[in-house]
Amino acid sequence: MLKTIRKITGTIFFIFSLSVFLGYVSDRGAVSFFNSFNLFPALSEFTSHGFDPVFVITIIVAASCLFVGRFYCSYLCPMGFLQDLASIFGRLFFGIKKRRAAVYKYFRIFIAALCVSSVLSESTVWGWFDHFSNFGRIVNDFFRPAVYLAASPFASYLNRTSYFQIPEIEFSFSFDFCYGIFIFILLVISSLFVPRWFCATLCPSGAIFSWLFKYGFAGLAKSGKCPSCQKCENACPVDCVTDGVVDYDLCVTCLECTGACPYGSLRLKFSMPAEKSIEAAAPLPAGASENTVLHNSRRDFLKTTCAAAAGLAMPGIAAKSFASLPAVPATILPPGAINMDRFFSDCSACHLCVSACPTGVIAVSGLENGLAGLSKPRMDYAKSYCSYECNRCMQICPSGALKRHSLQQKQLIKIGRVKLDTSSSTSCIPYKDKKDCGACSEHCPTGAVHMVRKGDIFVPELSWEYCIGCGICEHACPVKSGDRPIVVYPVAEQSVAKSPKRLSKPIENKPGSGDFPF
Amino acid sequence: MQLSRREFIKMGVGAGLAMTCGSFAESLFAQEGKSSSPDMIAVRNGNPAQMFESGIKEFGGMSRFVKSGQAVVVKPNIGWAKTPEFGATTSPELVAKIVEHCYKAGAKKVYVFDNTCNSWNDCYEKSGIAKAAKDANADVKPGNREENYKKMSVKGATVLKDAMVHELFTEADVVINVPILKHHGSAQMTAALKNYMGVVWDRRFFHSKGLHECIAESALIRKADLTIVDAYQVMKQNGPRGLTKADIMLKQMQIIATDMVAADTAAAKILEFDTSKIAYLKKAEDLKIGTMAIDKLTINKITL
Repeated sequence: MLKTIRKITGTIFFIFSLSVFLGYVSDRGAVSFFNSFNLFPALSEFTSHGFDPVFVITIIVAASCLFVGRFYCSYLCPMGFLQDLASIFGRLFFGIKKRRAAVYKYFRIFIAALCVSSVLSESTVWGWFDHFSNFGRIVNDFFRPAVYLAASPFASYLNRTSYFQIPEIEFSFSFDFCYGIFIFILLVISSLFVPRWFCATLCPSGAIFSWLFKYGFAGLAKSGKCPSCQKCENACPVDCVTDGVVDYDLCVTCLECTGACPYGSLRLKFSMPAEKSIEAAAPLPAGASENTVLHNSRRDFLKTTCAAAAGLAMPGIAAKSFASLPAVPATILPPGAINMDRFFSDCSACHLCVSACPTGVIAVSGLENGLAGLSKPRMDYAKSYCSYECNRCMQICPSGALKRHSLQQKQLIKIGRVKLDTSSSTSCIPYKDKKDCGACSEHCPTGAVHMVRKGDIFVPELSWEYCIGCGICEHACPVKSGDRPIVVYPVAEQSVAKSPKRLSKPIENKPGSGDFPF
Repeated sequence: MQLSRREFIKMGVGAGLAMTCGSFAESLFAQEGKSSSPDMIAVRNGNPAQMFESGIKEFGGMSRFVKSGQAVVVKPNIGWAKTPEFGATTSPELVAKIVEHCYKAGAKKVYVFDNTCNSWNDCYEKSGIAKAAKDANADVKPGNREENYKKMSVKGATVLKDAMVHELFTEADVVINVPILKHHGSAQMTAALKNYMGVVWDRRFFHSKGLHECIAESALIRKADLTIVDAYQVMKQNGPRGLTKADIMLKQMQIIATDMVAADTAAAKILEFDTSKIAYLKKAEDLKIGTMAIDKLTINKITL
């Protein structure tokens, strides 16, 4: 019963997550709902945007760990689902025996402290460990190309015959592209042997959830008749049950063990934290004296404190390295990023904006802006332009790295600086060939690039104070090679451009008046 | 009563002519001004759909142009991702009305497409044209797929010697050109001839090799069988995209003609532009695509 429910909820949530990260769900409410299930992205959204009613879900998910354990991890988490799929695959096709994942206690404390400290401060180190952001990168770098590639034989047929379109992927291998594939392969191959190792070893929300479970009010304990049939051990997908005793560090509360128990002996029960046989999984070595126990606990306390302190301090140390950022970014940042320092310290590189962008202009950075900018989004004007009528990226950004603005406000955010070459060596057609062209001004949504009469023809001119750096002029320009005449450059700080309203002089409107002028 | 009788007779004459001569022969006559039927219909003071309804009736009905079982392409301007009130794209109700008339005349299939400037799905959606046309049963096709464009040589052209043209445009039996009238930063005006940039794949070629020559020569690919210029709200400045609603002037007019150059000449006058300053018009006239001398044409003017 529970197994079936888990299959259903896991699949639903996996498909939902997949469609969110593939860019098929662009509704902000739906994305926000999805986001609220994930502890760190929700915390990040909270620190940037303040309280939102959907955070009730986050609180429920976290608080329920105290009473029912890590049900999010087993019943909903897409990253867990992916690992489960891999280990089931390994067991069924290669007969691989499951192996218990290693829990490095102090490492786990370190990672969790690091992530908590970074999500509350000006750092996004958490993005490298958090399951949500990692899943986003996997989907964007692996599933998206895979889906497009799989659909491409049908794409030309579908696109020719119907209104529906399947975007075709342009294959350009880059470091960032390999990165998502790398995590995917690492995750899948290692899950073949060690089920859900990510949840036990790395995942920061998994660590917090498992401590809430461990020191909370729910326990998995056997009572009454237990003939040690080992059915629970065999049923456990993460191999965390030994002789009816559960290792709370690993357990994801999928409850397959309780379902497998033929005597109804093993059950999830309410129990006070002190009553739980928490340390039972790690029995004392033979011959250990009272003194050693005391010694151990003192040592344990010291180690825990050190790991936590190191974790808490780490983002601050990492933030120091941002000081080495260039004054002006090497790449144009998406609208709402404001500046590099702020953007890099808020963006967890989940790539949600990359897949949501309708013009496909948002790409992933390599090392253009140093290590701090690795895998963070950038604008790729060689490929596309930023649509004037769209603010989807900032609407969808879960961490608040792209500051939310209304469409009207976004239409005034200056994300780049246009430069038009009018020198004698320009390749601009009206200046060079004395022929009408005007593709740039035709596309310009703000009137920043406009045409002025020069002799018999019209030449483009700039009113840069109206330019928002959307890059459509660069995109429309027919000169595609050599030194391009109109190019948009990055700015150090995004600012507010002058409203194009001032360029529209009002025209006298007399409806229905006047006869035909011919 | 008198008016309706006159209309009835005109319709009869129009239909009779269409049946005997066929639309091609008739459009030749029309250009030479020998036919008794009007060369151009100018309508004003209604909404775009109403104006078309009365205008096409005056012009002899859609059955003059569309015969039973024919495939029709209706080519509006869907170039920008802007809502209709910004006047950057053809009025959706006009497109729907035209599609409806094509089906009434017995068209087998009516296609609507444009090679847009902004991303195609945004343009199709925001302009309201995709929905309006689909509701009228038209087959709305994407215009952003290179594989739909076939390379062909353009006879008589000196600059646009060959072009990648949308297969629907060349394969259809009837082409109905439905531009919206706007100011244009580089071409000065966009209406009938300029609207053809949306049936060709590489618009950058136009810009880099001679904008006016290419616009004029694009009509050599195939002349439109019918041109309807939507001049309900016209963009007087900052075209072709427009910045704000202040760029729009409410003219409440419409031009229906078979001659693209004549339609553009009349359109330029509505915009109060000097026709001699629009270089592609003269070039198109030289290529014998149509005439700029609209004062020699029979223009039936309707005020609703």
